[in-house]
Amino acid sequence: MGRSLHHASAARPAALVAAALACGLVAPAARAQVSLGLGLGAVASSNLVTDSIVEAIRVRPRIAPQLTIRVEKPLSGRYRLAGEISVSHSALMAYGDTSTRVTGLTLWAPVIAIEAAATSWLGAEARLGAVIYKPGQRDGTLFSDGVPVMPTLGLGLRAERRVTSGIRGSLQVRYDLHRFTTTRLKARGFTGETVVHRIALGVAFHRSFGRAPASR
Amino acid sequence: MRRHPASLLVLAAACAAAACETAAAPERELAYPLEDPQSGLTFHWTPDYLPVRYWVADDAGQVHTFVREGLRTWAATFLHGEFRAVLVTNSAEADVLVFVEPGTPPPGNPTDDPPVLGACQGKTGYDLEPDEDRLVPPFRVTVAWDSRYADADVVNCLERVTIHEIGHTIGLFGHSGNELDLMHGNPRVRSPSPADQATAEVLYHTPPTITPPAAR
Repeated sequence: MGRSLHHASAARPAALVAAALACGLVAPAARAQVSLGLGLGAVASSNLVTDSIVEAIRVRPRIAPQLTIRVEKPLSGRYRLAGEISVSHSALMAYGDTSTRVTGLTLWAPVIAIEAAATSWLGAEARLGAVIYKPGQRDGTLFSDGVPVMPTLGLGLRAERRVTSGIRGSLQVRYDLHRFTTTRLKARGFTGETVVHRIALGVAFHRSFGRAPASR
Repeated sequence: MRRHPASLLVLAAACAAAACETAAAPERELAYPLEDPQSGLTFHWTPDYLPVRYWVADDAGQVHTFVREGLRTWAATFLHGEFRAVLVTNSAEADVLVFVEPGTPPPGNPTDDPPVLGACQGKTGYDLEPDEDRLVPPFRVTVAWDSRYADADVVNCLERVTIHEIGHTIGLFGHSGNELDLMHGNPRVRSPSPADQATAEVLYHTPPTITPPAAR
């Protein structure tokens, strides 16, 4: 797993997305079909922090609605290269004897994925990307000394069917994991990093542009 | 790229299965009593009452800056959003009022030099409902300075004492016996020590004997 980077600038998500899109658009089979997709779903996360102050405290985002934009390009054989960015937003909660809202939390997740078709309607993909935490409030939270950008590794499954001649619809499930800590947590004596697991479910529609590839 | 993607999936699954780490939290222990030494009562603001609203008298001069600094530094003590505060301009809306006697103190920036005892002093008071289980806001903080002392000594003293009194208004009613803690009876340091931070965190996860009013 990679190391965390801190104090990300606002331009970083855009740069990662641009890189992902560039990978998809400037691949060798540049004249082949490219598709643009829009997805909606929900994402759940495991605990970011497990703390103990008189009581056990678990800090994690609530299940969040997620919007995804994805660009795909066929590669040779059964493979596709995809670049996507997802954004989700929900409340960061501290669960102890009672549950307390810590702050609003937006997560940006740029990803590059390679998908392989298992059958004519089912595909599996390996995903590499980053997750960028953007809290609504930093003071008095674990983000008060900076917000982390964490590399992610993940898997995805997608069941898809043609809706019209140029549009495909799909159901998808994605899983990823990343390490999590913050500068503030380390300054307050937390040691190590927490491995955070996320799972997302959603639907997406893809519109194809250009000449259809022969293989898929 | 022609090999089956199963190798990628197995690799990612193995990574996920091995990834169950959780960051280790530090221990927090009380460094000094939470109770009001006179009444034996304990208090902290509750999540539904945040942000706590502070008002500073118009003639407070530098103390206005010290209150702002105090709110920032005490809020930064917490990791899970337990305490937040804002400055307000209408005293009728405030939960905490801050006054300076005998009026605007001398200007100047505080230094790391230890404050001179007697150049200033602070006092924080509060009222309770008759059954003594609810606070009746506002807290009243008064910081008084002595014009017989050098301006630099007054400014140094006012900074420490103001931030110390802010500590009382978040609920740290007790005093530390360690002069390196901000909540020592004669505060020398400029910000909460690790012991102050741990004590404040324990306070906010301990049921208080008095609470804020049920609703604003």
